[in-house]
Amino acid sequence: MFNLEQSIAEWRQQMLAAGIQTPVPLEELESHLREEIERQVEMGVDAQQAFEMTVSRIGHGTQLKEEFSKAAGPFGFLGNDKFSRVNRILGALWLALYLHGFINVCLVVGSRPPLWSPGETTVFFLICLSMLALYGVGISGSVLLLTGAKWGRNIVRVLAAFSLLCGIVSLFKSISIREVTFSLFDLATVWFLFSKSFARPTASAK
Amino acid sequence: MIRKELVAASAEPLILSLLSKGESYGYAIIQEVKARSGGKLQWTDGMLYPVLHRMERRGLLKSRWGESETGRKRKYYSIKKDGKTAMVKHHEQWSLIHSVLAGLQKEEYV
Repeated sequence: MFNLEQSIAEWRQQMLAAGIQTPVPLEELESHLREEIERQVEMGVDAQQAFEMTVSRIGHGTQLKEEFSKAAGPFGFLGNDKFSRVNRILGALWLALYLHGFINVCLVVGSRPPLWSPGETTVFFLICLSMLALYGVGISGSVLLLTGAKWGRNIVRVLAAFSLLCGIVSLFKSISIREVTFSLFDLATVWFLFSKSFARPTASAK
Repeated sequence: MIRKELVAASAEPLILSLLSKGESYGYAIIQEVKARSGGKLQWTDGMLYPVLHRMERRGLLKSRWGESETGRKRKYYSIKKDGKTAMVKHHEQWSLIHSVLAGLQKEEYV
């Protein structure tokens, strides 16, 4: 016996397998599929026939994927809409920065002077551990941002604000072009991350 | 039957003109075009959506997720300022082509 929901679920799997992404555009296509099936059934068409006709009219997944890829343009790999693209660019940028910081701390840990007292060594390792944890959280947040998760945005926001604070403190200690540049970068990032125009992840479309 | 090249070329001006009358969604746009053309202009259902996405990427349209009367998710499209400008240009170009064709046809029957 024909099961419409099961057939639609199988159709979704075929679309996903062909590379049609969710929620955009698969949710749109499914919404279209359901509305057309409803319309045909109201006109007296058998549900199975309505389903098969509508699936045929929507088109094959690989053909649609090709059309959507053309529509997405050269930067389509970043995402289907402006929001996911901005998230991914920001995520990649912050991932690079946090990875750089993480590697630097690892190198410092590896090159500590051997003649420190146990107390100095303990304090040194505690500081390094804290920084590694901080950069680790930053890396996780950036990866989440790359995948479009809301948590990623919040983690990167908090760490960018913390980074700005450290930058400002450093400026009081010594003003150099490097410190000023990093502080301005942190300031711009924090402003953008907390602004209303900051991209929302596509996950929030659900 | 209308040639597919003409169907493809007319898709953007038709979508812009329809959306200039108010927000709509993909399925409704297809039904409206079908109704207004007396069934002579039938778009391939799935192919409308890449066109809408392309127009959105170019800044002619914007979209938002909403809900249908039955609670189903639906993506609504509306025209942006650049879309209205593009629509006016399309109208001018299609009117020009129409006036040239109509003039030639008139000469034929004179």
